[in-house]
Order: sequence, then structure tokens, then C-alpha cells
Amino acid sequence: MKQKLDLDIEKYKIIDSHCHLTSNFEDFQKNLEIFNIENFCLMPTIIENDFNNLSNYFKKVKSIVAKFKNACNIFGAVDFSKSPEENLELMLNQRDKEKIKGIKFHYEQNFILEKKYLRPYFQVIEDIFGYDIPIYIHTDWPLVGERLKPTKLKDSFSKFPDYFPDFKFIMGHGGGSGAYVSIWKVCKKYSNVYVESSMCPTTQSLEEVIWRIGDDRVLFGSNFPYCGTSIEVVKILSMYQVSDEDRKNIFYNNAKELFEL
Amino acid sequence: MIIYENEEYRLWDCHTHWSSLIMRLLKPFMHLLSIYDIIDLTFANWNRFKGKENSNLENKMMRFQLVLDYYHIDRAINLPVFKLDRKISYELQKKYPKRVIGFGIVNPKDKKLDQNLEDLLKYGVWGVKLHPHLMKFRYDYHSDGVGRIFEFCQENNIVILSHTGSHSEIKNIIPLLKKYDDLGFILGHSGLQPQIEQAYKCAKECPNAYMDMSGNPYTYKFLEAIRDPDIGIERILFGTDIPTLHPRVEIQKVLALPISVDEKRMIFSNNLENFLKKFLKDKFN
Repeated sequence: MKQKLDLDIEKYKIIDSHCHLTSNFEDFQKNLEIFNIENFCLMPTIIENDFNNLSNYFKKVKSIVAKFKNACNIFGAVDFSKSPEENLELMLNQRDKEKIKGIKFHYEQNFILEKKYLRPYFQVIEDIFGYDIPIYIHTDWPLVGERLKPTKLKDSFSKFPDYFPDFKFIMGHGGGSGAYVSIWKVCKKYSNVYVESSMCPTTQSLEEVIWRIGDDRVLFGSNFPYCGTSIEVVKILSMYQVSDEDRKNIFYNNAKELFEL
Repeated sequence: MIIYENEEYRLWDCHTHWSSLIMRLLKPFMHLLSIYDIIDLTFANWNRFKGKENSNLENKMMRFQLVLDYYHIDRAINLPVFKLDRKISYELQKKYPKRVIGFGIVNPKDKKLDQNLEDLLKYGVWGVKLHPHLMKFRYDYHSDGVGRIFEFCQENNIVILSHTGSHSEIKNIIPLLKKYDDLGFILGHSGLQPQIEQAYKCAKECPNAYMDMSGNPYTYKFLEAIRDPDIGIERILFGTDIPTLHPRVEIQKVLALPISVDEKRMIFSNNLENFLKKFLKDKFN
């Protein structure tokens, strides 16, 4: 017996809530066209050292913005090598010149995960953007302890909504490879948390969010070009006991509402 | 066998699991080990295989075959999850010799390690699974026991698949693979996200280390490995991690790679076939 696996994606419009720049402009454009991506969120990445050189990141982003104009939504970042006051100036510049739709945090930015340390930086975000823009937190934090266990969400991601309940947070990569199980519990505890689907190891944890919490909390992300967009699309299409309406919300409607597009 | 864009592909899966714990009583806990699709497929067909003439074990084995059929997997390595799953793994290979390769499991910390290793020969086992998390060992702390396993497996043409990505460092496996360079070794999950760089380095330095794609989302790293003359496409293996991960998503990881149809066929089946031929020697046919 053989099974035909060709993809049927034409009926879905997509907003990609997580992608990165690529040096190959044609690849980027092709990716948008093949998967019917109407809008996308461009984020800094640790792989390209963007967090340590934000001015260079925004310089690279310019060419994409110029080309895709309204389809492109930029995520900024905090520069933790600078004081909150210096970040105020940087972010004002980001707000005025770029089309900032969110701020991304990555654990390799070497911030201290303490309310006292983060508070002034979140104050800067609040002063400039209010609570309107979501904060994206990369998951898959480093392995910890003698047994090299994955970091639990309660010791990483969940600290953010705990400390700053007025902001909206996106859990990147569906919790990551070591902490994806039962992410619905995090969504249940914090009503201001959304889950982004790229690199989430299994369909199951995303299904549980839909079944137990609702279809308005999952966002489609591709993590292009480091992951395959078709793989991430197949993940959503393969979700079990999820309706077509739910899929449309994951692929498009939830992001449209969250990013106010 | 699957068809994608009019091309046919055989599926040889280097990473699946099936457990004796699959029983009605434990159904409420099955989601900890399995995707819901497979749970429902298994239990919806419960009565189909339940007959007076079949033993409990046979019923469980037929359910595994049903899952392989459902996802069109032609041949699969079955890896025991717990020690108690060894029996079903060995029996699966006996019952479906052209379909399932049932690995054993040995714990480097086990006091009866030598006896467990001899048992592998007694049962005619072709490969073993090592799991630093479930067996609570580390490649650096328990190097004596691990070394003994590597030595024994090399001597007896038994291959190894180890979980990687947490609970131990892949870099500590490299010296062992260099010492036992005629031992076939699969880096299960290729280090997942946290240890993909270590897995890459291991494959680059050790020609006997093969990269399993299951569970690892970084397709760009696999593409790098394919193009790296020190690794190459021959050492990339398709895996699903059934029943924990979704096979359709794992299949798409190979289909999505910007490589030729023949190269996709290598990853889907030919590479595993060649790996088994090379390291199992005359056992595999």
C-alpha cells in the first residue's frame, strides 16, 4: 500500500509569526509565495549574532522592509550591554524608524532572570510601546544541573508573565525540545500567553492547547530559514481532532488580531 | 512506501518504540508516551486483534504492525523504552523478520552488565539502545560500563543507538567512537536543539557515527551535514520516534530538503540499509 502525501495548502492564508532574514533574497520571496504567506514577523537571531549588533540587524532588515512594505513586521530587542536609559533612546529610534511589532528575548542575551533586574527594561518597553506589543521569549534554555536536564518552563519562560502580568507574551517554539509537554497548563495559568508553533517537537502539545484552552492561543511560525516552512505547515495540518476553522485561526486569524494587522 | 510529487519512496525508520505497557488499564497515561492519533488508532482496533488464539503479546505486536501500516513504514528499528520492553522487541523481530529489527537495551550501570551483554547473543539481538536519561547514566561518569558495552558490541557486530540531546554530553562519546571505530553508532535525534552542534561535530570526527533526524527541527544543519565532505548524505538517517512524534511531520523533514529525489531515497531507506549491511556484517540480509 502506498500513500500520496502531496500538500494541499491553497485554502489557507498564512501570517508567519516567526521568521528570520536570509542572505538569499530570492529564497525569501519564494518561501512567501509558495506558502501563501501574506504577512510575516522578522526576528533577530542568535545564529547571526543579531542581538550583539542590533544596528546591523536593523540595517539588514531595511532591504526587506523596502521590498515587502506592509507585509513585514519587525521585532526589536533590548540591548542588555547598555543601561535601561540608553535603551530608551535606542527603542525610541526603533519605534520611529522601524515598524516594530514586538520585542524578542533570547536567553543568550545574558540578562538576569530576576524581576529587579528586568523591571527597568520592561519599564522602557512600556514607556515607548505601552502594553500593545507582544514580548517573544525563545525557549529551549540551556541544559541544567549535573544531570544536564532541560530547563523547566517554570524556571524560564513562566517567570516573565509572573513578573510582568500586564504584557502579552509569546512562548517561542512551543516550549522547546525539553519542555513542550503540558504547555496548556502554562496557557491556563496565564491568560496573556500565546504559543508559537515552530520547532515544537510534537503536534500533541499544541492539540492540548486547542482542546483545553481554546483555538485563539496558538500562532503559526516557520523559523525560516533554519527550519522548513513546509514541515511547520504539515505540523498544523497533521494536528488531530482540530477543525478547519481552528487551523485558519492558527495560520492567520490569531496573529492578525495579536499584531493588530 | 509513500508517494510525493509523483515519486515513490520506501520508508526505513531508524527510530521507533513499542511497549508492553500498551494496555487498556494504562490508556489514561498513554499521552505521556504517544501522540493521540496513535493512541486512538491502537485502542479503536483493540478488539480486532483480541482472539482466543492470540496471546497478549501477539496482540500488542499486531498493533505495532497496524501503526507501521497506517504510516506506510516498510521497515523499522524498534527500540525498547524500558527494560521490560526487551521481550516484545525481540519477539517483534521474530514475528516480522522482514519488517522489524528489535533492539535490546543494556544499562552501563547494571551490576549484571556482562550477563546482559551475553544475553544479547543468546537472543540474537542486532542492536542496543542506550538512554542516558531513563538509565540515569552519563557518558563521562560511567565510562567503564559504556566502554564495556562499546567493546562488546564491536566484537559481536551489534550496533548502538543512543538518545542524545539531554542528560549527557555528546562530546564524551567521541573518544569511544574513535577507539571502537568499527562499531556502528546512531546519534538518536542528533542532539535535538540543545546539542545539534555537538552531534554535528561527532559525526564529522567519527565516520562510524550516523545522524538520526527524528525530533530535530534544524533542517539547515542536516543540509550542512549533507554538504560537508566529512559527513555526507550517506550518514543521515530518517526516523520518526513513533509513537511519541508525528510520522507525517518527520517524513516532511526529508521531503523539504533541497536535494534530489535519489538523495531523498538515500535518507528514507538506502542509508539505513547500508548502515545495517556494513556494521551487522553477515547477520543482515
